[in-house]
Amino acid sequence: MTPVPLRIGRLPMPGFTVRRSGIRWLCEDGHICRPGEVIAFCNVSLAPMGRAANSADPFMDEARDFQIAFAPRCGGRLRKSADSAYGGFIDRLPLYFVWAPDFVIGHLENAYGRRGEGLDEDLRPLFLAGRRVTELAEAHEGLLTGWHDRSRAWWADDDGSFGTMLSLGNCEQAGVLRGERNAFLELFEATSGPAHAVFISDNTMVPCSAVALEQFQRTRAQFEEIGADFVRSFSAGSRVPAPREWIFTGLLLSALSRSPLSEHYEILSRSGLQRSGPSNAVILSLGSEFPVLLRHRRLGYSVSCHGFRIAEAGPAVHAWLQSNFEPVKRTPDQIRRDFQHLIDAVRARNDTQFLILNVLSTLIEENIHSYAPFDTPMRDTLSSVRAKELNLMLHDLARERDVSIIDVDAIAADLGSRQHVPDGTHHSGTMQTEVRGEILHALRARGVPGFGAR
Amino acid sequence: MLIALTLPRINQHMTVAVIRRIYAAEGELLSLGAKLLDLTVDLSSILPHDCPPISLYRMAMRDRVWLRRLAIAHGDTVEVGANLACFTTEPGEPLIGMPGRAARVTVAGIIDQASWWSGVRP
Repeated sequence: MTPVPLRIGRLPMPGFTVRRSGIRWLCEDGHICRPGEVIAFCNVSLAPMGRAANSADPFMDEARDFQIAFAPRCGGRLRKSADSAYGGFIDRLPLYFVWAPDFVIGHLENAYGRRGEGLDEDLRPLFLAGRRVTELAEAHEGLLTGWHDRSRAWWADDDGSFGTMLSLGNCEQAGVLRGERNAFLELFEATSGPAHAVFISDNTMVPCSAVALEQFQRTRAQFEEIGADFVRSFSAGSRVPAPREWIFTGLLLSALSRSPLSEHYEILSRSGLQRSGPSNAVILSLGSEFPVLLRHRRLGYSVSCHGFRIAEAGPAVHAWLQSNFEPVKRTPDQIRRDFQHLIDAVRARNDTQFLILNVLSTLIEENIHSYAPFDTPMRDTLSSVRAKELNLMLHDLARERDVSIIDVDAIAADLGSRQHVPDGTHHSGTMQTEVRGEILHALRARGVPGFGAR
Repeated sequence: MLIALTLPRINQHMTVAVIRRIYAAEGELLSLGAKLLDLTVDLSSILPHDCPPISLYRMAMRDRVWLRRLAIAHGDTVEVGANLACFTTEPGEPLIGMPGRAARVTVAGIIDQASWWSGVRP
């Protein structure tokens, strides 16, 4: 049987020269590929023809971490082309090769096809783009490596309108959506496209419902007032912030300036450049709804951070928070109202589906025989009681606002939380696969474009 | 009868716990359901990583006993299996000999209302 060439294919971008790095392989020569398995990637750049780049050019805020990964449409034994990779910076910097559609990165021997897909078609391209927290955060080590406040990926071989799924969550969503190799590979191996997935980091601000709503509704003038207050507070404070505290406050200010729910996206595909967004579906987590958030005493905006991040932030940040913010307790009813307002506000602008992950409602290590020792309301004391009340609240919200519940609690119970969520927060790979499957099932049930099964 | 309380392995991955609060004092009669202490289990002490799961637990009594001796104080880091307290079923019993049995306690996960703000104290 004639080996199947693995061509990178066309990438039409009129007015720009597309350049790439050498190919970096994710598997060894001789590897038996599955159809749709991502096997290699390269970095890509877009240089305007006959002029200098400017801020209006596409992908400018993701230009330094912009990659294409490749998946063969058929399976077979991989044989790499000798001129695909050169090592070192040649394979990292997207400078040295002009994109040539007929370039062949390798061949598949003994190829077998997936029904309906030709063996001789070009490679399936998966685009990956990261918006750096700071351009200083250079990390070209691998696939979608780096410190990003937003990372995203999309199958780029499809025509038509892309469906966008936005993940606003915490670490549980990171593992589920970005997968074992942190590059959305498992998610996209399971989808037919044209699908586009976006993940927002919770490094500083945890996107609870109240914070997401404020981000969505905040005006430019309000943000400028917040920014001016930051400057006044830290220049007038008795403590001089340490360098790490400037980084923390800078990231906090950056998060306050953005609204992931309002963002549009550029998407490059085999058929050219298009815009997508705001998102067709949003994934939120009850795990992001902490019992307490911080509210600015004068300006009224909310800050929700992981406690350990605040604890590590430093004394000047602590002094600023202590003198300018007050802790606000949130009951399940208040959280429900925040979700309602968020969903109503977003849907007033766009037709958006909402999926919400519930929380584990039992603690494997707990052995309560009587609730008498615990003060009421017990949701303020016992985390398992609060979790149960939150999960019940979510059922009310689902009925009232047509929201899909991703039942993490039930999946953990089925799989065994001692083995698969041993600390109550962080999932095993098996658990992540199951939760990912549930999310894809909900997206398909709601008709979100692009996320059909392969 | 002498009754002993050692630090149980609340989480299979824990090696130590930190005593955050002690509710009872030596010499006190503890009734069923009495709060004994709060402790934190910080799994990041095993393997430092981001997003450390730090859990707060409360121990409450499932025995009606006299607290005779506390082996711990606020802020202590205690290893799994270490002695936490000694109880007796009668107030004046001598604290001599081997414990008759282990204390019966309830362990419950507690919401750490203070951690947000305690981390913020300048």
